[in-house]
Amino acid sequence: MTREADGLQYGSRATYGAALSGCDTNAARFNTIADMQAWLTGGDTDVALTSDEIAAIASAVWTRSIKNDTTGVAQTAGDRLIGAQSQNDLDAAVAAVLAQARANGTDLSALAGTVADAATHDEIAAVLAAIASQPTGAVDVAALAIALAAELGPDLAQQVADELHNRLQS
Amino acid sequence: MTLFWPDLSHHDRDRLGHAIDVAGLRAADAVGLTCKLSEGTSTDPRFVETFSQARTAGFAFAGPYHVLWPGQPGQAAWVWNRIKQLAPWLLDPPKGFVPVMMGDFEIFQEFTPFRAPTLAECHTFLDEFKALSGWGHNQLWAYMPEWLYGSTVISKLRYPWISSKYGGNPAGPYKSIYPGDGSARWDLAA
Repeated sequence: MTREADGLQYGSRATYGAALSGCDTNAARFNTIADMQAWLTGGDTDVALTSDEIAAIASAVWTRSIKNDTTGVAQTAGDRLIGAQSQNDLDAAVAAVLAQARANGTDLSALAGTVADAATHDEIAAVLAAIASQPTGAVDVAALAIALAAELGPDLAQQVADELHNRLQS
Repeated sequence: MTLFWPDLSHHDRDRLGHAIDVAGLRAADAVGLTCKLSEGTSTDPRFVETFSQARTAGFAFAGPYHVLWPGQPGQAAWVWNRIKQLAPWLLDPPKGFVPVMMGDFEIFQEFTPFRAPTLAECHTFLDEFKALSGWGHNQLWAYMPEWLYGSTVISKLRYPWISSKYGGNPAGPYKSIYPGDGSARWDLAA
């Protein structure tokens, strides 16, 4: 890699008029004194990093451990990056599942009522049909009540009894 | 156009036998001046006598140079303090004047350890001085002979590079012994 000097010390035996001889002497190549002064005062941002310096900085950043505020665990940049990517994906997946679960829950609640109603209605209708098929006087009401309660459970049994009563009254 | 300036130390003053006529240097068309302030933590005994004259000589730039000792951290802070003590006017320079500071990076017999400062040490010195002084990047120079450091190291230097190539080192008026703007001495060997 080549480079030009910004200044050149070209001798150590120079004479500067009557003031001094045998001294070091230097030179700089500018069109004017003002140009050199502008260069002197304007050079804060123009020095490029070398490739080696960039690589060293990248390596230092990647391996630097910083404490994660949430977990309290010190992690390198590489680990934090992977973790953040996974956490984001996980959060998104959980949110989607929750949304679907909520939607499903609403449907299930509605469906449960429908199924319960349907089951209850069908069971009662079946019981009533069975009773109606019996000859008159052949129904042992007490036994029927016990059987209904045993077979249907107290709630359904009560509903059957109520429905029987209503039909007999009608 | 080429701009010229001398750099001076107590050797020049002592060889002359009396104070250097710094205004006379300006009259001979020197546009600037660098003057040895220190080496390690030792102050050049003639710095104040010579450099104090630079304040009113009408230079476009001037400043101290410091010979950096190897293996001694903290020299930038030491130099900055010496500047504040011995040339405080550099912190508030005259209008039209730009202060500079040059790091003299080479090897001298008196060094312990006996080696030249590493590039890292040179950078640390200049980086720290820059932070302390607030001076611009190009106001901080690195005098770094190519014969000592080689082109590979110098190619990694992050500051303005003052090369040192004397050729035959003839004696004479500074303009007449100048090798020219197109001289290969300006170039870092590939």
